[in-house]
Amino acid sequence: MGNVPTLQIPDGWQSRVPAGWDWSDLWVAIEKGKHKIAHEIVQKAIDANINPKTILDDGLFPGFNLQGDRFSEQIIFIPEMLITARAMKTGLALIRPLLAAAAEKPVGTFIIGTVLGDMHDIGQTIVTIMLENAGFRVINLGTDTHPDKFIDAAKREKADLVGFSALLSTTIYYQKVTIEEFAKAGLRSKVKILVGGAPTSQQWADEIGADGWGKDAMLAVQLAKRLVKEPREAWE
Amino acid sequence: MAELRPRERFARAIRREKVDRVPTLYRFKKESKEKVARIFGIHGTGTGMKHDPSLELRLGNDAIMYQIGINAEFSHHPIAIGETWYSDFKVGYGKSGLQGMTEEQHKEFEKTQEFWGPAKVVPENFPKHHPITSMEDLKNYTWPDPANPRLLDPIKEICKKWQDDYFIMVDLSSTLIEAAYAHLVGTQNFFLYIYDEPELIAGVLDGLTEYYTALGKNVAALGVDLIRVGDDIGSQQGMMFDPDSWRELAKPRFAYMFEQFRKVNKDVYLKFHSCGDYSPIMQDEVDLGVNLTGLMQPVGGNRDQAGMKKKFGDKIAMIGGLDVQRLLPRGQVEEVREGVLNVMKNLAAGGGYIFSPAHYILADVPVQNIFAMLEAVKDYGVYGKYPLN
Repeated sequence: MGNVPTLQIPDGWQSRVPAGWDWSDLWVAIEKGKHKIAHEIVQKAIDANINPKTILDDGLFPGFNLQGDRFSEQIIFIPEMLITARAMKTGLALIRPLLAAAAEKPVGTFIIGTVLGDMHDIGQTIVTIMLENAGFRVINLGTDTHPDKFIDAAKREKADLVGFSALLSTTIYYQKVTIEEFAKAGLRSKVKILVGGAPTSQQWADEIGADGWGKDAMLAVQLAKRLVKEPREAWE
Repeated sequence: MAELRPRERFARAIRREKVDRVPTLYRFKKESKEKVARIFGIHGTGTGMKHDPSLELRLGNDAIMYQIGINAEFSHHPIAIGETWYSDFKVGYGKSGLQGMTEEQHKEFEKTQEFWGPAKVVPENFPKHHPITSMEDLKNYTWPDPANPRLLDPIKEICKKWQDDYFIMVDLSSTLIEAAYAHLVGTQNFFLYIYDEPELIAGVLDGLTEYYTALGKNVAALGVDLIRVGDDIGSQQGMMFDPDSWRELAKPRFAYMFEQFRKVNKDVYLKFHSCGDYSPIMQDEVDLGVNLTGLMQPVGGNRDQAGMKKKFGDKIAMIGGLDVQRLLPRGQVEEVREGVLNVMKNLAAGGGYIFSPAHYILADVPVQNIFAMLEAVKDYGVYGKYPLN
């Protein structure tokens, strides 16, 4: 706590848009979670032939990152983060086909779920939303997920990262068990594994051989961005 | 100081008066309760609305807590695999830990696990159908009967049987915000509706306030010693939503509820509980006239128990504080003893404190740690002796 996040305006954004174009309404729309306004502005930007990657980086991310940082600092809370994420998602939905057509690849593929025996999903839902908005392709397996389901999904989707959520001290053991199952299946070096949830800690993550611990949703996303760049054994 | 009767000890601690030793309240989930009861040869191990206090009293509890809120029934109700069971609130519940398995497969699966080992899946009931997601739903919704004898009769029995000696607490969890998001509306819906459908949120919270006010008044009329409201608004690192939103949505409704309870019984004590870290609204609890408050999750966002005691200890009594997320399930015996010692130093010094683990003792807590805790409380929880001299 203690930092007051500010809007990070992208350097030289004016050079990437037509003369007279202004992103500030979109920054505010994302910040305030006005998804209808966000939709309108992104559509206008597309109609004005602005590069979709520019719309994402210069138009959508500043407001989203501002709220993410505020969320981390507990200046805003779940409801505000949810409406911002929804506005972000509205904009992303419009530009995603254009990004794909321009051969912009997702940052990585992330399999996420709450471990076997645990039905809690508030935390992992928020992490999913943040990861999607940060450019990851996320496959959410929901709650009460058997280790085999994680393994099947990782194989099928050629996952880069896998994340196990758990809220209870009785269920975090399944983070350990699931990591062991990945090792038994010979997949441990193909994916980076992240863990999170109320009773977890960095010490717990180290103890069970996870690659990282997400203390909160924003830190989990930062961790994912870092880990996805680290070397892994390739999928065939 | 002469030895006090349990109910006197508990009440005095709530009033922040002198006591002989720190009163205690241990709470178990079914699996851990059966495990410990077996050692003592105790057969009555009912939990939830079938609560049998024999074991807890044997371990030294000074109070009996009986639950009748929206949580009480579902969390202990037997639900078969694949079944959706509907409570009186018309919320549908299912069972976890069994994804895609038949009953037979699950039994086989359980056998492969070490009996009390770390990897045992303890199936939990969970809400999966939420009855109110639109104004139309709310309009057509019928609230349960707050005078249902099924809820109130067991309390009469408990008072008759135990109140001479023990302090009687009745729990109305979950009472307001949590009852709305976790049960009636659904979590993601609830948080979005705060912005999208404020009238629906207000309507649901008004309905809950009316129901629990009536229920709590009926409970107060039975002469119980304390009414507990439980409302999870904390996450591990901080509050789920803005403390100012809480002050707008929850605080006035709790104020109304408490005022009504006290109209029926002016002496009834009030306790507030939330999981997680809800330290930003501690002063609001004081404003509401709450007598006894739980504490933040000891390994969560705000870990400064001594600081909270210093700031609020002369305004409100406190309960809880021993870590159930890491220390009790995974600590060594000596670490558990040290944990109890620290909690006593931080919270019990000067009085106004009731010892309790931060939450239920769950199936993953080894028996030796439970005994280490009980012994340490006997060693470190006596006023006039180290560390409370």
